[in-house]
Amino acid sequence: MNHERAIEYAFAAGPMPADCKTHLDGCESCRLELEALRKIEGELAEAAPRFPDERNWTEGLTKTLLESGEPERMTLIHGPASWFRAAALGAAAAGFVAAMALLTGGPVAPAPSSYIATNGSSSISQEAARESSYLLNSENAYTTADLLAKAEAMAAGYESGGDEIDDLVGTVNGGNWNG
Amino acid sequence: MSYKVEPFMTEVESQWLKRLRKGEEGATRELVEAYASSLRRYLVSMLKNPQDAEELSQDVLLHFLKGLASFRGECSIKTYLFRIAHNLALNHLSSATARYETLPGELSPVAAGGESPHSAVQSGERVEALRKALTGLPPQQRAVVTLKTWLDFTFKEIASVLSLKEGTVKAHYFFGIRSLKKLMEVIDES
Repeated sequence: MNHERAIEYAFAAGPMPADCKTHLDGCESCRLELEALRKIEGELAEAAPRFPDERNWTEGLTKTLLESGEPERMTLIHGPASWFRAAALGAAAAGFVAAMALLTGGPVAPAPSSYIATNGSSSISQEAARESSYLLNSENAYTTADLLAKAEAMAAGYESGGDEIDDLVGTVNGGNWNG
Repeated sequence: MSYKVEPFMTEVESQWLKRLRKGEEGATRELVEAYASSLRRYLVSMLKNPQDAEELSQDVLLHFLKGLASFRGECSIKTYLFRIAHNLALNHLSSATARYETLPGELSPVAAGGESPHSAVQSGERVEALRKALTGLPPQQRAVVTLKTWLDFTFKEIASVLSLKEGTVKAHYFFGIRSLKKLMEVIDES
């Protein structure tokens, strides 16, 4: 076995064949080379970048998602449930978009009466739409923590208001809204 | 909760996937917290630019969530995520809009452009020199070395992420580390 093959085997190939082990036992230069490679490997592992703690990064991501205003990104903080319901329609986060549109007078205008919440202004969707609009308004100087708390509150609202989201999605579907 | 995973879906991951699909509260957040940092670390190495890495790591998570309904669970979530990350990174590298500047105020986990490895060492920053040297490897070697040394992937997991044979991954790793060693020797001598 030649030097290069012996080193490659010993360094990365796992269990060494007998001839490789024999070669290494009798070859000082190979052992030194192997040692040097492992030293670099260790140094490189130590050189792995350290980022701020993940909680902070998660909050940063949440803020970015909120500020992006892109419906499919917004679903990341609402949980995938809303996205799956929306995906069934072929439109990302249709429920959320519908809630947004409710406030802005967007493309869900032909909504049937079932879409309009029976409990009036306390409707979760209306609340979510109002909150979303506020969060997305760049003039509101929210801190990341505020944004996160709001996002979680909104997500909780969606969770507890599953039936209403079904109504929203159904409406979007029934209204042939193409998002 | 630990998210140690194998190349194939474990029971823990299966349960986690169910929670994600049910939209269980906190499941998405756990996904982000479990993998965002690792994805970012990998993408920083692949893209050389912290800002691009951060943006792309968000895209990886979004791609994963978008594809969750069709995800068959034939590999682990970890493997799936990093496969998405790798493909997006390669696309990014091949795009004409790839940027390589380091933004002020960033952590500068991997510097790119500007200061050479030599000057980094001269200023006593061997770690930075190693990072620079890593970013100089060919993408495939860089991917293998990064996944192995920075993220503790097994060769089997790397093979699954990169769709390569395990033996090929080992060869990439060996030649990658050897290239880094030679480069660092040159730097040390200078």
